[in-house]
Amino acid sequence: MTALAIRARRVAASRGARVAAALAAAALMASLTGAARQPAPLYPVQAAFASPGPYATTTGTVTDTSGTVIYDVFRPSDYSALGFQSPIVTWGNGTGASPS
Amino acid sequence: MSDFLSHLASYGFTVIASTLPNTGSGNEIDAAAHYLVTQNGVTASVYHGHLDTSEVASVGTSQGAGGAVQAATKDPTLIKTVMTFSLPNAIWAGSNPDCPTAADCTANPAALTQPVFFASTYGFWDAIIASPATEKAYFLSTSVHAALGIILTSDGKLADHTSIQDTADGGNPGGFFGYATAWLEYQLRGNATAAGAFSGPHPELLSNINWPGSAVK
Repeated sequence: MTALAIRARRVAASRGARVAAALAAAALMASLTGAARQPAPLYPVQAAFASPGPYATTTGTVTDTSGTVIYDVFRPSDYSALGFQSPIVTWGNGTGASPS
Repeated sequence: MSDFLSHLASYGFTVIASTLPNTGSGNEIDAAAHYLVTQNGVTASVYHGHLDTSEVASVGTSQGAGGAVQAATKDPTLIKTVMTFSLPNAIWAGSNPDCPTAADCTANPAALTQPVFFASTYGFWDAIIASPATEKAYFLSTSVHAALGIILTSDGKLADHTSIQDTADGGNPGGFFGYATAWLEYQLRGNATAAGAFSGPHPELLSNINWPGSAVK
């Protein structure tokens, strides 16, 4: 039992149920904050889409007529594996940065 | 930015990014999308017939976030949704090789007709460049469905203006991945699970303690 929970029990004996309940709740929260102990994601939508997606990817470049690379491309490597048409995302970097 | 852009590709998105160091006009961001639309119709192209040219998002960070908004306001027929990372306060717009005048690099989110997700951070540099107050003002100025998300930590560190960059370049982008991908899944693919982050009776973004001060409308 955690030190916090032990204190909660002593407080319950001396000061009353309300304070003890608050300390017990704090002990419970403290024991739950380790990500490894959570049985399910706290924020399931975030967790679902933070995981790597199901499709293998590849990169490419687009050059202009003088041979200068003007676009970088990041895309699924096998479009036939998607089962849907690939939506387009056009990206703008920060000042001085490059996409790759 | 390849950590984040490859992450999007792994969900089936085709991401194209101008290599220019200044993209604030939005012209190249828009041209890049049109390039893919054209390629979709070219028989010999690797993209031929594979792209959903009716589902296009403009996305960017810092000056590129301004460019993404500009691409959307200049080309509302093509751009269906917008997502920005640290969209700078207008005082930072200036002339540069992409913008003859500061006005050419000044985005106007209030003029957006597309749904938009404004993301930023509580970091030191964003407090100066793209503060929570600046982002909230942008959010309030729009007349469309919009989300405001200000992230606290990412990959175990306090998030800031350049967090969206690759870890190899000193960034810490991972914290953004969930809701950023969800926004595009929701907006471009009609994904109902993803929509739950931004809509419905209990949008998950609003309850996430790592995104305090978030809002949707």
